[in-house]
Amino acid sequence: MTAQRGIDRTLEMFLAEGPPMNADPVIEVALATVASTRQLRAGGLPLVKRAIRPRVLAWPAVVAVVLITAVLLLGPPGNIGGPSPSPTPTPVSSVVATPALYQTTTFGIPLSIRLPTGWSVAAEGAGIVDFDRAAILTIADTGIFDGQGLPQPWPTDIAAWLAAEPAFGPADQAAIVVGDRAGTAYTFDVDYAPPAAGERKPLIRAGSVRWNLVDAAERWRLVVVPTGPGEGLIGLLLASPSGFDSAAAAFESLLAGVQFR
Amino acid sequence: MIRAQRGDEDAFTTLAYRVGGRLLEIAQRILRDVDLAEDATQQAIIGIWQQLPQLRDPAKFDGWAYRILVNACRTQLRRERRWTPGMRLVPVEPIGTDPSLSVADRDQLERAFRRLPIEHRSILVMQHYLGLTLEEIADQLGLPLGTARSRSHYAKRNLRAAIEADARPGRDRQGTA
Repeated sequence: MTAQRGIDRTLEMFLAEGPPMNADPVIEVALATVASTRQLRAGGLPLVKRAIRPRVLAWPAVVAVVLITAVLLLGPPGNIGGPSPSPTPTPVSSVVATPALYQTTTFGIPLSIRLPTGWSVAAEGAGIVDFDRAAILTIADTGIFDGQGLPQPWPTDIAAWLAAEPAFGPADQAAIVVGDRAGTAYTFDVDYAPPAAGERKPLIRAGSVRWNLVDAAERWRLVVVPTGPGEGLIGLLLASPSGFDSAAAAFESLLAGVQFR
Repeated sequence: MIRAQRGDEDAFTTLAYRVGGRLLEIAQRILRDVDLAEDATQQAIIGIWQQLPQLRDPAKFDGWAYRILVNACRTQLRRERRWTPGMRLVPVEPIGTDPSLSVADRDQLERAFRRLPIEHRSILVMQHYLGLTLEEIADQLGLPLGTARSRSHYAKRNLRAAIEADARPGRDRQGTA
């Protein structure tokens, strides 16, 4: 029994274990915030005063730290930072049984999700319901940052924005209906390489979590369903290109279970 | 370091990439949750940037940064409690594990470790993961040596107690099955 072992040796073995972790995306997101954060002088007063663009002030929700999650970006901890290992969403043990009708109150947009077989909720937080390799977000809680680390408004023309961003390949565009509302599905490849020291890349943050969605070379399906001016729902699937089709089919079954309440 | 203290963002970027990986590893071991660890590390890096001009002795940067990280870990644990009641990510079997530590032992340790307060967890991580002596830990965390020593002692005692408490219901269940 553990208690009978030398506790020191046991602790060393226990703490030596751990998933491989890629800190680059984490650092990248932190540095994006640093760009608009003042240093404090020894007495605690601001040392550096920068002009903060009005947009920054208009996006406090984007800049605010809110919650954990983003397993969709990482997959199981054993795959952190790497490309998507499994193209097909697989059931994960979770507090939410599948299939089930799952109602979330974490969104400004009330909705229910009937989870099909094979899906379960890994976590949820403000502005995000997080599945394994996919998520449902709200536009209000999804942040976009440019190469200087400054927050940008959610693009009104998604296709033009994707086309202008070198990290994203050409997007296929298709009409889609989610919860009786019309939306658009954009499918594109993400060309990602870890940033060199000092280099900054555009960021997309999931929900209001400080997490960069663009952290691996993989294929995305971005489903945007407007629900009002500047508001809407985002469905997001991340998968390896080789198995994307089967993952996308599973994702469609997930979105088919979304109902606005 | 000096340039970063004076507000040079490029210098700070280099510094962040130099220490970020280590901070993330430590945070993961304290928090036992990858997502929380990433958020804590981000918060710590931002905190290091903000407070860097207040660091008087650059030679003490590592310990000073660990202190900021431990505070960020504490914040993340509070946030987890507030926002995810009952919503736990399922621990995934870590790779590269030592076969001499059985799955049952590891699960038991995992549960027991998560019951420890953050002060105890951080002491154990610094002592048994970073391999620091209690004198070094006291110096790095700005604690009296006696405090570091007693925290380590109580952390291990509490860990043993938690393991024993964890083992008890299992034995009961087996006995009644």
